[in-house]
Amino acid sequence: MIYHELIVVGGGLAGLRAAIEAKRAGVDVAILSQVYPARSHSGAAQGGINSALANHPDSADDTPEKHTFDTVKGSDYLADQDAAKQMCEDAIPILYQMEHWGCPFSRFDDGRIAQRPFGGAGYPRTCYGADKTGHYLLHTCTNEAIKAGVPFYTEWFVTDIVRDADGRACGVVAYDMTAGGFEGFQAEAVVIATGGAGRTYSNSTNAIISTGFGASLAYRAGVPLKDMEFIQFHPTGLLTTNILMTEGARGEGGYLINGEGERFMAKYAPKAMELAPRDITSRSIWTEILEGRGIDGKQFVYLDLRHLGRDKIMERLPGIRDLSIHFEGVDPIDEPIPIVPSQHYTMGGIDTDMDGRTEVPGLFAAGECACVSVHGANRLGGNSLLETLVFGRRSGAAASEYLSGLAQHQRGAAEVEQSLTRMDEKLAALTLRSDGEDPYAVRTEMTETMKEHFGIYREEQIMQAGLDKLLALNERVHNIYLRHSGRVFNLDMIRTYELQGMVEVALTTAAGALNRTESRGSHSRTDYLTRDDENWLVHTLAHREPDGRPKLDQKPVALGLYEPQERKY
Amino acid sequence: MRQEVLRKGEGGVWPWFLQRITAVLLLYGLTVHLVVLHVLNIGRLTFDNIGDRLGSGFFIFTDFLLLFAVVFHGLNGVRMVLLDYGFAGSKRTALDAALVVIGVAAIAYGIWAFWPWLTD
Amino acid sequence: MPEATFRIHRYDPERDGDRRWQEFTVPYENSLTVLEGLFYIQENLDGSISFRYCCRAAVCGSCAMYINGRYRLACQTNVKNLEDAPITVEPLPRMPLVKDLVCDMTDFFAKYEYIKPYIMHESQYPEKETLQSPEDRHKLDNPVDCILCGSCYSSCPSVWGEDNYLGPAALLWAYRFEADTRDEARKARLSSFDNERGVYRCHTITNCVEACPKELNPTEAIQWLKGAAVRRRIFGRWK
Repeated sequence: MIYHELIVVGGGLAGLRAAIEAKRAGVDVAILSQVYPARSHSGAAQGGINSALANHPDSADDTPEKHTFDTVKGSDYLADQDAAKQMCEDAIPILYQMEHWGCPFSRFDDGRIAQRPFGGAGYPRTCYGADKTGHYLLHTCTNEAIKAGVPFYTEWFVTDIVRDADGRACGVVAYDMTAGGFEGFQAEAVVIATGGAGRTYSNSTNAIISTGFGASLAYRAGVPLKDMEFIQFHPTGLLTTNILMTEGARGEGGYLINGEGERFMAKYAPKAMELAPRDITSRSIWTEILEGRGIDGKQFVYLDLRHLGRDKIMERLPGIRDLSIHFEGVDPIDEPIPIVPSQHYTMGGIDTDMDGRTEVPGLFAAGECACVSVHGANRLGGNSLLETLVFGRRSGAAASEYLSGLAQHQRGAAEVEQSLTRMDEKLAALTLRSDGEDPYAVRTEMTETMKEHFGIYREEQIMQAGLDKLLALNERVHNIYLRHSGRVFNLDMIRTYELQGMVEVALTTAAGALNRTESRGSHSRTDYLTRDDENWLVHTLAHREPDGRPKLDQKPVALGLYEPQERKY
Repeated sequence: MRQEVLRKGEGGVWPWFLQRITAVLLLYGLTVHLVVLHVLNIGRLTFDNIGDRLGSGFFIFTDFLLLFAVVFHGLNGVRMVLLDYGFAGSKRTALDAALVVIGVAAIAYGIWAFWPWLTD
Repeated sequence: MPEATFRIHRYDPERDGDRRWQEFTVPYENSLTVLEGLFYIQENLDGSISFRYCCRAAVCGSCAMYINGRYRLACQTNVKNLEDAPITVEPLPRMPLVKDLVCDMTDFFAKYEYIKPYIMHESQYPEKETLQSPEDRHKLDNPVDCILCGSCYSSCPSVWGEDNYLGPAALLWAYRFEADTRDEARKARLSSFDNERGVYRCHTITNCVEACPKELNPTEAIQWLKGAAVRRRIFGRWK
């Protein structure tokens, strides 16, 4: 058994930032990650990170308060306003810190960090490094963690979070992918930073490892998942692969064009046009497609950058150009890019407070897998990178503080051993079975169900049918079998383990969506067209029943700064 | 990870830099050689004639420069090639020592051959 | 429905430890990347196959492989653009193997971490950001796009000959920080690469330039470092 005071599960931006904070506070912290930290999905973020630095000539009077307001309005008033305020205030020092740590941001001529306009924001406040901001930030934080001396357990796949007799988190069990076999980790506290659940949908922009499995571990450990029905669809995913085409492409002036050659956003958001928030833009595109105005009547529209010219595309959007050439065979300098709205972000997640604390003592969460909530019903572009850093740092600090308050150390060894035995037994049971459900058939059915039944537009009957399918899958998933029993780098095992958690996470999305009888942010129902603040200005909580089904509950939204009003852009 | 990489690295900037400097010196020496032997006419090729030329200050300077440059450049070049064939640790120390011995011997031999013109 | 035939390198340390080849046929509709093909095989034909994956959008560097005799990212390689059949898929050549298409990257990352890949700053930071002109920022355009996929490292004959040579990727990152106007590392980083396990082991073979799926140029960066070492060690000029 291996011991560290603090275990961080996940090596993306939130996990790295939490670990650095704890390490610098003198805590013995280690990161366990399924991939080398610099390979995490944070690196796929493109457009930028919001912070009211007021560097842009048009944002001289920008302030964190205005950033807070945009965030809250963007969230369709479901964000906790105190948390949003905190994030927008922390945004300024954390941005300067990233710059001091060496992040290669693009620069204005006067040498200050460059900013660009983004959807749903009143000012150009999205700081960027070309169209690879996430990649740059991720490398910066990985490198800072190396500098701080945080040990990485690379390619360790965490399969269980262990609680001791008093209910505190006291460690994890993980599968060592390269050496093979399970190992127990004893710890005083655990931070989960495993990212979103995009891969529960078949049309996701997310990395293949963004399965939501980390959130399902916390869910199994007894923490409720919050607001899981709010799934963001990014307006511009590449047609064949759903690979992300940054919002920065529209921030730099790109047009959305339908089959009739018109800039249809004029109908839906006459003021903001292409820079309306993502929920509104995605719905607009989908409406055009449903009404037969896709390109050639098919299920896509164009993102047109040609008028920006070669120089601007090469300077500001080089990555977008590479991706469209390699994955779609289209050079945006000469041709419009075919795009389709694609699942992009999980607004909901592990229920935490502003410092990443969950209901379970010693268990913290940060990043996309957590729900503070600052994004409410719809996240603004550029706020996710910000969230990972701000709440990563805060959870790292809170975990360090929690550690210093502990009277007794190194508890729960027996529980970790038990869990280790359980994991070995589970694996043995899976490999002993030589016949049963095909895990990949179950996976495909689940991801298609999510796409078809819980997409951009939702309706009672369709969702009910989807939920029934998922409940059936939740039964079938217990009869799956492994086709490979080797110990070294066993993908069959990892993907099967993931699947069981994914189905449970998908169920929380489905149940929450069916339950919420209103349209708010990304959750738009054709049978309940309007927002219902009287009954539904509340967070949904999903608690796990022993059979994996969710039991729904509610939690009030923290208001106080801004009165809910109608969203117009 | 093997620990050697974390050990302080061997051979700093000087061998590499001197390899470049001696390359330039070789170019200079070759140019002088070709120009003097094939372009400039020193009259009849007699022992005395050649002896005078070799004994002049300019030629003593150039020839010694060339001697040191050739020996360093050649042996350091051999060393760089051999290093790519697994000479590390004590084998590398032995290689370096052997090359130094060869180099010193070559230079001593050069000086011995030049001796008459130096003392003349 | 078109089909693609894959000829895949197999190696299982738990079985016999022999390296062998296995062929699979994968049907597809419009488009198929090599990574999608590998997933099809893993899900439908042979559950025992192992390979690395993450972003499937050419930014994470996980799936660098040797495909039809070239270094490529499996996710970025569409079978339609490959001329030879069957499609031969190998792990990065000359790297220690873990299983099938997965090679051991331990040394690679240890060397990366060894060159101190972070900004070192001694003076007081300004209250806001450190200013940097767009021109100075452009000097970093090339190296900051590195995704640490390991292709250059695997392709470098100097690495093949000397286990402890830092290799192109680590040195590209050393350049990224040495060339950054904000860095004040002075000797702290210089001494890690200014030796014959570092820049002087590079013989400008330029395999790394050929191999890089991001079209970066580690050789040029290493040449810059050699020049910087001379300027600093011999002439005492630091920036």
